[in-house]
Amino acid sequence: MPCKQENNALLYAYGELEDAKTPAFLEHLKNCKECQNILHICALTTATLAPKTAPEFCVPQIHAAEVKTSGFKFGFLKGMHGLRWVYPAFAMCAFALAIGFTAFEFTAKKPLVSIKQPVSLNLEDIDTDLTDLETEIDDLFSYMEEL
Amino acid sequence: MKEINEQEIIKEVKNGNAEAFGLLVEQYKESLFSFIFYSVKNEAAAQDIYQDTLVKVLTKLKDYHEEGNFKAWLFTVARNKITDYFRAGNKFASLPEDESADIFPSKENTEKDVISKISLDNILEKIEELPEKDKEIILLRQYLSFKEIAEVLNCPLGTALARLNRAIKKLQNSLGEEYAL
Repeated sequence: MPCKQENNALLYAYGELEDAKTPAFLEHLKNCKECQNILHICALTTATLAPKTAPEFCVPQIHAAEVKTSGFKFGFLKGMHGLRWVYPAFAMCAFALAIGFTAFEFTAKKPLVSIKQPVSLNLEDIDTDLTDLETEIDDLFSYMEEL
Repeated sequence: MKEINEQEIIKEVKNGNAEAFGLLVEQYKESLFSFIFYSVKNEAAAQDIYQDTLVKVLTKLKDYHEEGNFKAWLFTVARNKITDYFRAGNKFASLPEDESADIFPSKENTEKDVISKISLDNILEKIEELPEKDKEIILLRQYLSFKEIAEVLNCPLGTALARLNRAIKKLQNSLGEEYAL
C-alpha cells in the first residue's frame, strides 16, 4: 500500500512543501522507506539532468525575422487588438457582394439586341429605298407639269 | 517585484524594443535550452528548436496576456516545438560520451556521496527509456514549479503531482536495486 505522504515527499524534494507541513513530514521521513526512495530518485534525476549552457542568440536577427514573418497587410489596423472582427467582417462583405453580383448577372432581364451589336448595312434595301424615292420624285414632277 | 519587471519588459517588447526581449529570456534561457536538449537529445536539433521557440515567442508576444505566467507559456511553446520535431519523424539520438561527462554535479557533499557510487549515464538512459509522458514530467519538474507544470500540461496541480509520482516509481523500478538506498 503506497504511503499517503508521497505527494509531500515530491513537494519537499523540490522545495515546495509548505513550512508548516515540513517538520511533520521530516518526522515521517525518518521511518518511511518509500518517501526516502522518492527523495533519492528525485536527487538522482536532478543530478543527472544538470542545466546545459544555452547557445547565444542574436535578438536583432530574431526581431528581423519577426518583422518578416508577421507581414502585416492592413497596416492601419496594427495595434488595434479590439478590432479583430474587422477581418471576418471584410471577408463576409466580399462574399455577400460576390453572391449578389452573381445572382444579378444570371437573373437580370437583358435587351434582346445588344446596343453594342454591330450594324450591318443591307445595300439591297438602300437601293430599293432610293428607287422608291426616285419614283415619287418623278411622279411629283409629272404632277407639276400637268398643272 | 520580479513579475512587475517582467510585465514591464513584455510591454517594452510589445512596443518594438527588441533588446528588451533579450532581458526577458535571459533568466530562463538555460532552463529552456536544458529542457529542449534533454527532450530531443541532439545538440543541433536542440539549438534549432531553441531558436524556433524564441522566434515564435517573439512573434506571438503581442497576443500574450500579461497576467499569465510567462515562463509556463515559454515552456508550452517549446513543448509544442518538441512535439513537432518528433512528429516530423525525428528520433532520439544517443548522447555522446564527452557531453554526458560534464553533467556531474558539484553540489553538497551529501549529494556527492549519493551519486558517487552510480553512473549518471545509466540513469539518463533509464529516463530516456521511460514512456514519453513520464519522461516529459520528470524533465519539466527540473525547470518548473508544480504550479507551472500544471499550467503547461493544462491539468490540475494534483494531477501533475500524481503523474510525477508515477514516473518516479517507474524510474525507480527501472533502475532496480543497484540504485536503491
